[in-house]
Amino acid sequence: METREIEGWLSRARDQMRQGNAAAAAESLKQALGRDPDDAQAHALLAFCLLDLRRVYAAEHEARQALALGPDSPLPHHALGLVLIAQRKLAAARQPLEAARELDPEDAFTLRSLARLARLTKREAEAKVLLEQALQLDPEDPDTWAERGQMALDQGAVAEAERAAREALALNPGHADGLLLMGEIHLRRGELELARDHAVLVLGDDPGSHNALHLMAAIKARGNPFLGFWWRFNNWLAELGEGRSILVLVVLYAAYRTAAIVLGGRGHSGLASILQVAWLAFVAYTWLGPALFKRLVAKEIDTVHLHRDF
Amino acid sequence: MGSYRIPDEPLPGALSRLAVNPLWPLLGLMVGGPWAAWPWFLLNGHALGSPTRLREGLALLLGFLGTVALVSTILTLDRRGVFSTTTAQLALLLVTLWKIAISYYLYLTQSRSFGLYEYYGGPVRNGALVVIAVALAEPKLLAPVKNLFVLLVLG
Repeated sequence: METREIEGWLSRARDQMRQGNAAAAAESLKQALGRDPDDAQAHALLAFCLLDLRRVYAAEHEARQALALGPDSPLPHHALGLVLIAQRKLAAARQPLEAARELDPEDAFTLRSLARLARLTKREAEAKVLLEQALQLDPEDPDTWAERGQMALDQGAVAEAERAAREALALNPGHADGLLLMGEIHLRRGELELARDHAVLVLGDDPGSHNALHLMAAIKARGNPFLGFWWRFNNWLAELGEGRSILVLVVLYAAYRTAAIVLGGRGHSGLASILQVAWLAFVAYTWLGPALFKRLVAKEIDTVHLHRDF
Repeated sequence: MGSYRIPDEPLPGALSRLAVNPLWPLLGLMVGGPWAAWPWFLLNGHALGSPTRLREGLALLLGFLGTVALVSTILTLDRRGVFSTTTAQLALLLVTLWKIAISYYLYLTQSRSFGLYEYYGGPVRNGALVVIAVALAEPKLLAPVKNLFVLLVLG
């Protein structure tokens, strides 16, 4: 009875993951783990969901738990590899992903993750080979097509990216990564309305999709240079990671204060005052920017109609 | 049968009705100083049931000890006549930067817990009134303090 119940929660979680609803899948997996806390598969799947939800610390805990409970299964190794990629520990990520490939060489998903790692470490040729292998194993996998398209787009090959996006969408017209890739292609071409339509389609299925919100924000940033600067600055800080972003903010403040003190000390009080006003304006801008930006994006999201199966 | 708890999920306790967005304690630092912001961060960590509250407590301890060490060094050097007016201002800037760095760290760490706390429907208070109270009380509270060391550490 208990085993059947756990299987039920696991199967439900897999369906929810396939639909791209990581939050709901995580809740289902919590139910499964409440009944059997030693289920390695459930811990590994939960790690994938938490990664989707950007809860990297918890994802790492779950992946390591899964690995301790089921070291002979490829899934925990794969989950740990993706967690390490998310933490930007790219050198360390290779070992668990290779271990996952060794345990299941026919898994296209693992090859795709290895390709992503290769792309991130600037080994584009290797990434291309891995994606080709993944497509040979499963030519009808829209995820691999979308990944291949993303790689082409990053290299500036827009036409090739579009071909891959169309393949992904032909296989699954509601495929979120395919739609987002197509949206990015339109954005790259300056077709803002079409880009917006693609982001909205994804938000209709998953209003919490980070990537769709990111695309929506990028569209807004392109359309509004005043807010665009804040968005790009914020993105840049987020990419730096917590420690470095604190350092950058503190260095910015230190530079401003040092300049103001030195200018004041040398009798240039007028210049020091201008600098202070400029700093205050920057602070006010960073305070108002997020609120205005969120409001603009929220206005767009108000037009989103949820998919009836959501 | 209970549900499994993911390790980053906050475990709100009896203080949860005092939970605020960690942006407010950060603002408390700007309008008041560490005397207002740091205890508030500590309290908020407990109110949110933050899984990183031990780390936050250690950061606060490090922040306090670092401030004491920096201020002591600067005052000692100043008594020896090492500083001009400008270099003294620059040296004191180090203390401010240290306090800001610790507070940013606390803010970013607590923001993650706050996001999850809100997601699970935890009650959240508006900290604006406390910030206003801190801004109004700060001159009155610190005016009677004549000890420069205490003023530089707390202010």
